[in-house]
Amino acid sequence: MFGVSINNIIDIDQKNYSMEDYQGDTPRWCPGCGDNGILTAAQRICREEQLPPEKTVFVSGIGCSSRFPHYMNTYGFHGLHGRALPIAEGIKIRRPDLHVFVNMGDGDCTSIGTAHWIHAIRYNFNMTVMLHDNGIYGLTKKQASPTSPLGTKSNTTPKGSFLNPLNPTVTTLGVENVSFVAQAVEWIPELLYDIIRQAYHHKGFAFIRIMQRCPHYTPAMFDPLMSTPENLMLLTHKDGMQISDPLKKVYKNIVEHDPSEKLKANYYAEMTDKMPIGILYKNENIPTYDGLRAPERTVTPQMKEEALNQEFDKFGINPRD
Amino acid sequence: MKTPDPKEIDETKVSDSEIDSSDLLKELDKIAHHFGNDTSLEIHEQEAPQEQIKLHFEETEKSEYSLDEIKHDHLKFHLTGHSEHTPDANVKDLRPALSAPFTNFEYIRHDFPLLIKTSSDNCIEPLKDYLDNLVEQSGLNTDEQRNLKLLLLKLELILKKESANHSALVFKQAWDLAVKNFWQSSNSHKQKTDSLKTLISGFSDQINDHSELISYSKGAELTLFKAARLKQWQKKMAPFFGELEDLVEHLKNILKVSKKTSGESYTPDALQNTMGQPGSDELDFNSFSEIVTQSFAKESLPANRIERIKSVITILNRWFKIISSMEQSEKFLDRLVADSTTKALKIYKSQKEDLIEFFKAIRIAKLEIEHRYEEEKHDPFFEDFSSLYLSEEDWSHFPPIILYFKAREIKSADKADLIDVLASKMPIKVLVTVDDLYNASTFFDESFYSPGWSAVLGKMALSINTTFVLQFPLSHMINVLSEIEQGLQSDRAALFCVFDGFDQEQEMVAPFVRSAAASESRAFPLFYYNPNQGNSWAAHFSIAKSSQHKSDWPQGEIEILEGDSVKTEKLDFSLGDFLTGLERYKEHFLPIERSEWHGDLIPLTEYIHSDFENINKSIPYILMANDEGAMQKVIVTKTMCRLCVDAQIRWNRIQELSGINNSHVIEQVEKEREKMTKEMQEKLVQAEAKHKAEMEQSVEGLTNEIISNIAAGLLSDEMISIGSGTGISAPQATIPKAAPKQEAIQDEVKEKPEALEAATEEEEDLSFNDPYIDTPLCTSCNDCCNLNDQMFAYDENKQAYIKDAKAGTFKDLVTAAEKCPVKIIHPGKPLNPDEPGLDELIKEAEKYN
Repeated sequence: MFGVSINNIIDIDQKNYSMEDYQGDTPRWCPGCGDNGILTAAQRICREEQLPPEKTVFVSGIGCSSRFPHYMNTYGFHGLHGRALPIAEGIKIRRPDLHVFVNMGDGDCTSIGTAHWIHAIRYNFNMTVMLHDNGIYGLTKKQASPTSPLGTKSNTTPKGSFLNPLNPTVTTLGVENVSFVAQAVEWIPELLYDIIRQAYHHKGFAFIRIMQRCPHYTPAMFDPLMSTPENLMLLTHKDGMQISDPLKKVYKNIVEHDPSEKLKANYYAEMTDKMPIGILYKNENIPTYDGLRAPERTVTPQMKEEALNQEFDKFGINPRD
Repeated sequence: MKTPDPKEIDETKVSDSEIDSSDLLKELDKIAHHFGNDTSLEIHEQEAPQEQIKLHFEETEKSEYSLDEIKHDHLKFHLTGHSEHTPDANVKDLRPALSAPFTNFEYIRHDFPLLIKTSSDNCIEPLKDYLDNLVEQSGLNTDEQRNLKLLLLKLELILKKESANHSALVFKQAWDLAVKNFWQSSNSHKQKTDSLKTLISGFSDQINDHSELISYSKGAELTLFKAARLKQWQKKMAPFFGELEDLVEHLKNILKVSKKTSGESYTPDALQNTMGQPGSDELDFNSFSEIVTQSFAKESLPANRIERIKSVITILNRWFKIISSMEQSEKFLDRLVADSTTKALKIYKSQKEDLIEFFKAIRIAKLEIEHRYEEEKHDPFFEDFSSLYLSEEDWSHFPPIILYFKAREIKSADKADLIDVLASKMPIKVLVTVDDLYNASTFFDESFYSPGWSAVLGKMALSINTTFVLQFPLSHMINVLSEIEQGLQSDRAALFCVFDGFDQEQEMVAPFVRSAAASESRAFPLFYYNPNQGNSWAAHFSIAKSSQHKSDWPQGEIEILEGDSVKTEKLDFSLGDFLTGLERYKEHFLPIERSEWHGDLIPLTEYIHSDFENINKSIPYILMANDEGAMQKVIVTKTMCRLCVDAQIRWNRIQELSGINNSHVIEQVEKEREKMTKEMQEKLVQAEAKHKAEMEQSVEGLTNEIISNIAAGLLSDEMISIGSGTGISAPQATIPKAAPKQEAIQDEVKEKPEALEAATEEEEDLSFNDPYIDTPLCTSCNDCCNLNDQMFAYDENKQAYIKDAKAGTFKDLVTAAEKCPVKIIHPGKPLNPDEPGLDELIKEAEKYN
């Protein structure tokens, strides 16, 4: 009535964050590195969702992509090689109120960190996980990683790699309790942003494999995908990735895929002739570990101290006694 | 009352938990039979329940009056309430035939006594269900289960008897005592019972100390409402438990840190405390204090803030204490019970202030913890903080206030205020115990009979339309538990009218049965209205939990012993049956001996459905039985018949509200039917006329055809040759033209050619001479910006655009285009024709334009 609504209450504590509020150090990645695009998309998500920087954590392992937390002006944890996920899980179980993002490279996640990766999917913590997949160890100057395409010549495989690469989306989809799997490329910022946005809104372990160019060591790896747009198969659905009209004019290979259908998700994930881009699988009904095991009561440092002292007192020896 | 027919119980799905059709006696019999002579758990002689009565007709001596005289006397009683033959006969020792099976009521399993278990989700549960669950969950084999069941049934009896003497008992004590008494009195101390003993003592350990046993007694409804309210409010406040603890601990931390940095902790005493006893002699704490006082800066929080935090902690702690334990919550809520509207309003006002204070404290605490409290901004806000600042969600935590009345004792002033309270948005839950149904209307005149104010209160409250209303007999409490919870949850006022059956100290029928009878006889119908459920009358209102809610009167079955056989008969239970139990109406009922029965006697419900005001031939009766089960017909006066008709009208209107036999619908259906019949008839007439016309046309056509055929035959060459020279010219045969076929009208659906949007998009008015970037495709790699940050810049999404093409050379543009990993920089044509090496640059630039 009178053109006003009681629901429009003025929030006197409102604060607006801009992109600059999330920008940390100047990135020191190589010129033209695909990590830049992912960083921009992450900063955009933070701004669009107005995530308070003090309530947001970016966790990484070791590798080029794992420098990510340095470049975000939020809380961050540059962890150990392959151990980004256990750290992120620790943060989430203790502080479920924080928004947790994880950035890992292909070596970090699918090689040394595989065990953590598999179990993190099963635990289904509520977090957004980005796998920067450039198919090579870049920080240590070009060694083949589990996702390097067959025949990749590197310092460890001078005659070309001789194993078929591991497909992270297929692996993720095969683990019990999987709740969100998506695939993106960093060179289409609009789609990358939409996928990360939906991953952020997903309640559970949202895993995104992002194809990321390494201009220094594998500059031509994604050329077939970049030069021939038809090689990218864009999966769209009302519950999945959204594509703008201008983009539809460039990328014409568009397929309708309902992310709730797991068998189809497997089919697309295993596809080798085309590269499916979009949300492969999404299931909001899988319980999250942080939801299942949420602490029933608060434990403050003071309470911990008291409990510890009580325990110590049991063993303490008073010289006067 | 409880209709005894098991089929009917299933059908209505209402009464199944009231009284088990297989009563305790049968259960015991069955089990005792199973063990035969070998049983070690025989029922004690003294505890064996009485045999249930069998209904039968008793032959009586022949009447001294003639049939006409009898009929005349009966009619006279029906019209005037006076009988000359048996002036002193009354129904004092009789009960309605349908309620006769419940004579030995204490042995019948029903919902009461109820168990209040504050610790479980299933807060209120009948004792019988609790015990049955124990058997089911015992995990014993079939034989052992039977043993246990028998034992528990005996304990149930003891508990029932014990609870009947008290309105409430602590269940654990009552149970332990019953178990002790049972083992002492039982002579079955054999090995076989040892395992049961262990099992029973195990059950005892499981019983919560706070569980209570509530018998069917006066005021039980209030106890049960309080229990339901406590459980519900606790559930609602449970999320605050952790939150409050959290807030208080964080606030305390702030104060603790403040204290540590304020210098207070640098005093010699404080320092000595930190060291503890051992070693404290070896240090000079005065000197130590001097050193640390000089070397550490003193920083303390502003006094205002400390004061504010402390006061918030006090408020939050108070609420934390209230919700932290069942006892405290109970103590708190017990204060929120009023017996007059004035008191209820007073409680509401004080609670409102408390609630505002509470939510204000929570908001301040949150701001303080995040160090966002700014005095100049927030002080005025919180000074102004009032109920307007509370959200709907906040309001929903308002503890419901119970306003409890006994209808008989309510004052006139309260009656008037009650409507205001009910129409308000205050969470005052009005619980009215009706105990004066059809009984207290001597207000005007002794001959003035009415159901009374309290019987129509519930229906009157329906007219407010925004108030939750539930009317039910106390006996049906378990059936309407979910509705009671809804009413308590509603953030508005609610009205609960409950009839407990204690309106008269009548020994013939148990109060439980009387309470149910009031509902079944439509004297006090069960209905509920929940304005929070859906947004139509159909969604709000329901009588589905009322017994046989689709019929005028509920029907029950009785078993009549005739010689050695048993005959079943169906009976209606009407208001008349209910009124027989009221002292005030005794003189309106006349029992008659079997020898005086005659053909003019018809059942009451049949009588009131007839046009009895005008055709006064029959005499209505109801069937009643005495203690031995001997049945008698009881004549009803016309005054009572009129009361029954009134009750039925009121019930029919309630039925209509719930969509049963809705008169508007019936009327509309009737109209539609008439309209359709009329249309059908018209169509029939038209069709007949059409058919007739077609027939006539066909006959005419056929005739012409026949004639012309004959004519053609006659004029054929053959025939002409036969009649040659006649010179008759053959008339041309006229064959009627077939009626032109009526062509189906084809809808010309011409699709308008949709204005095709210009396929070719308008080329952007961009000259290819100007440089540009496909900004949305930029991956923010910094290459261009690093090259020339005056020429290239990032937009709000951190994607590159050309900020100033003149801020650098054409070479810069071409180099950036070359470097761009996603090839989205288009250098265009050089702006400065004098730039050196342009030819090569232009050639290079063409690749990217």
